[in-house]
Amino acid sequence: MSSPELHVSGGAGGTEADLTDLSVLAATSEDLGADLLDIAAACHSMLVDADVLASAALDPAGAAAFEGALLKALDGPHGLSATALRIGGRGLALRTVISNYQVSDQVQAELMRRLDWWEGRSGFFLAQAGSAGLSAALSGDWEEWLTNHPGAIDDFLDSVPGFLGTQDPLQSVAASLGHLWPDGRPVVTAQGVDVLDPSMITPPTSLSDVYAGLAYRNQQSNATKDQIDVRVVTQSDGSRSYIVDIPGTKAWGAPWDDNPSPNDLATNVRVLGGETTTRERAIAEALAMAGATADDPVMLVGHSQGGMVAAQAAADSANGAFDYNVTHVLTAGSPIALADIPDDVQVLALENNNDLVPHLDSTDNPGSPNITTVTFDNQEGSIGENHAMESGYGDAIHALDGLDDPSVAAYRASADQFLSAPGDGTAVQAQQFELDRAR
Amino acid sequence: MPPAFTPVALTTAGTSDATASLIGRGVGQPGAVDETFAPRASIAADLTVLAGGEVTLDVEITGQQRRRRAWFSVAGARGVALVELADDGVELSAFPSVALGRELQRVVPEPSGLAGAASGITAALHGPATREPLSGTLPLSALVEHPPAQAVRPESALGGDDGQAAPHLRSLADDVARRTTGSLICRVVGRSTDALLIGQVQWLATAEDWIALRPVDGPDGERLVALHPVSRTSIGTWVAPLMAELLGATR
Amino acid sequence: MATVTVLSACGGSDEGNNEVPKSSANSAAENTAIASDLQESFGKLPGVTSAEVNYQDNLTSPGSMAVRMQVAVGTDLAPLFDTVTELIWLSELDPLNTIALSAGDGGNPPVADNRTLTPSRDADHAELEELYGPRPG
Repeated sequence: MSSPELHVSGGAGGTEADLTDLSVLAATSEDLGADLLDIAAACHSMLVDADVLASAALDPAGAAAFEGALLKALDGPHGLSATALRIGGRGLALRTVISNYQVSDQVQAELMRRLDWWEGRSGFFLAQAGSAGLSAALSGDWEEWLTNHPGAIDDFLDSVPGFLGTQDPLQSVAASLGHLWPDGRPVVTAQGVDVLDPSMITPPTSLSDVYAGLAYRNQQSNATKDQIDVRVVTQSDGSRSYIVDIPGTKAWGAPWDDNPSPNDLATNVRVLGGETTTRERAIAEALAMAGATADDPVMLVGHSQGGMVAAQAAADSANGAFDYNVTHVLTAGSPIALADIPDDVQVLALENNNDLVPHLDSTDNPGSPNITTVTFDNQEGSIGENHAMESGYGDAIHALDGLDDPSVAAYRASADQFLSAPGDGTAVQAQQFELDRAR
Repeated sequence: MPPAFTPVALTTAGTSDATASLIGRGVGQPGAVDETFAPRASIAADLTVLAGGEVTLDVEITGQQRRRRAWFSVAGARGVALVELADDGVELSAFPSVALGRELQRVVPEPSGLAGAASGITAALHGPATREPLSGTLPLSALVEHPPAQAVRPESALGGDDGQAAPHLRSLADDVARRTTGSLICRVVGRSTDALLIGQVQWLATAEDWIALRPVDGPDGERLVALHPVSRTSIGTWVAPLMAELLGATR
Repeated sequence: MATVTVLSACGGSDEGNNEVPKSSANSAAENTAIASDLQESFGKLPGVTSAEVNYQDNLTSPGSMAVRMQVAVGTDLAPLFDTVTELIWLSELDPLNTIALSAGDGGNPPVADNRTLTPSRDADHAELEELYGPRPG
């Protein structure tokens, strides 16, 4: 696709956002959402005709066009035939709806798991169902099984201590956590110097060069090869700085069997940790192995969860929990609004307005002088591709170099110990590290 | 359907009444055969996303007097929410998937909203309402083996060099047991080619604060839990690493 | 009770509104096997001292084939990349959305190059088809 328009907020160039002529859907939908919520008071339920959703009349390009179209859709003569659905109590007639729809395996598995977790009584369901019933349920006919045995669910629920004072939230949380304990500390192994990509052998001269190293490392990583690298940049005067490329975790996922819970299902279950703190410790270990001192300037570059790790490490560099001199953070697709980054760390965050991950914090990044947020609109059609480095962020990264914006320029200028000009005698050496589970 | 929303048996008459009611409210239209029911296209679309989403989130919030569940599913540009309301109603709605963070926030109440009448008594018995939020690190076992209002704590739950529980750990465990008024569990579920993937965020509520529980592996592999006071609006930030990991899992 | 409309931000595009996971592609095991065979082939190409492939198919990197190769000093990388690209294109990897190639000689000074192609996008797809013919199967 063509180069997307980039919108910059925060940073040294000021906090005024120039919204003209931009497709900044996130700002639109946030503001619109707030307006709609005001209108709707406490209620947030409306079902929209699927045909209208697909209609080009609601193309959200442009904030004004979107709002105008919405109002027209609600109130005009060809307005949406929207329905507020409220289903009362337990008298649901949705049973017949269920029998008409395929419910995914994950919901099926979740149902089974949920019943087990809730009170740790994994044998109960088996006893109720009998093995034939359970196998019918697990084989995919579970809708029919539930339809024919709705009482079994109610009996189970009734046998559980109820919520009016007899169920202990602390114990249920602790039990659930015990069932779903994520895997722990990674072991960092140095794998030598990586010379197989231009980003690893050429000192970066631009922000897109920096991101290119992250993209390369991300391409080499997968669930069994969790890699990071540390690019050691040496200036002609011998001073050193360190760029750490942190791809997002690719789900090691602790196997279910590690947890004290029988897996009655045919499918494997793996527990996600999403653990930024252990990854942060791994980064510190890698920096130590790469020879960084507590004073050398460090730039942390991360995509997705990697960016969250970078932001957390920056925050922790102020309180001593991360014992390195983080001066710069560069992220793509990461929610960092609540990261409490110190004022003396320069941050540039790239966010696709159609990427749900950086919007999970549901808060704008601070508009402070040290935090520059660059947003753009790229719709690749799927959650994953809107979030991916190549498809979701590739074009915007390339556009970044050509962007003439004071905040971005200030960020670049502040990062001169990491960026070089051709021929200035700067050298780079990229050290590759693998993170394995301690097992 | 999500487990919170299990259907119940209906008599024929009950089915007809319910069907008629739903048809009357525009939720569906009569099917070809007497008792069948065809939901209207929009509901069908929403349920399809609910059933076939790329990522599903399941939120369960419990308090002393109430429980609330919400179920979110996102697929492509679209998200669907199924939320249990305070009055036993159920709400089904759609949202742009990029707004998932906002959707999560809206189902998380202030922790003070979870405490029932008991919290007033608790406050009266245990001191002023403005207390320090719970923080620190405890063994997971200390949370499990401390039912509320139990006077004697087993020594084994907390350990310590000489078998005596460290006083501050004991005090923290006591505080957690005594001050917890509710909980929040958010599970993020997805699928890879060979496994179901589940991640969990777990918070406790006290009368004043939400406290996030973060699992930590101790040096000897023991299971520890770090307590962090958090605001209700940070739920998306806690979910984000799980979501990111899920999106990177092999399909 | 007032009602609220929340609309999905489809961006006007139909193609990507994939609400149900695709089921027509290879299994992970099949793709892993194909990628492994390709890795072996790459390692035998002239000038290549070692090759490593990373095939990923997940929500963040769907159908992504990355190859990196250590080569002998002086190896001409452009024709090497052409050959590798052709082998990948004519393989049965499915899905195949991105091809990312890197190679370096580790010399003094080191030389390295890379190439990225996006077969999932029309322009690259057409070019690859013109160069190497249609994908098999």
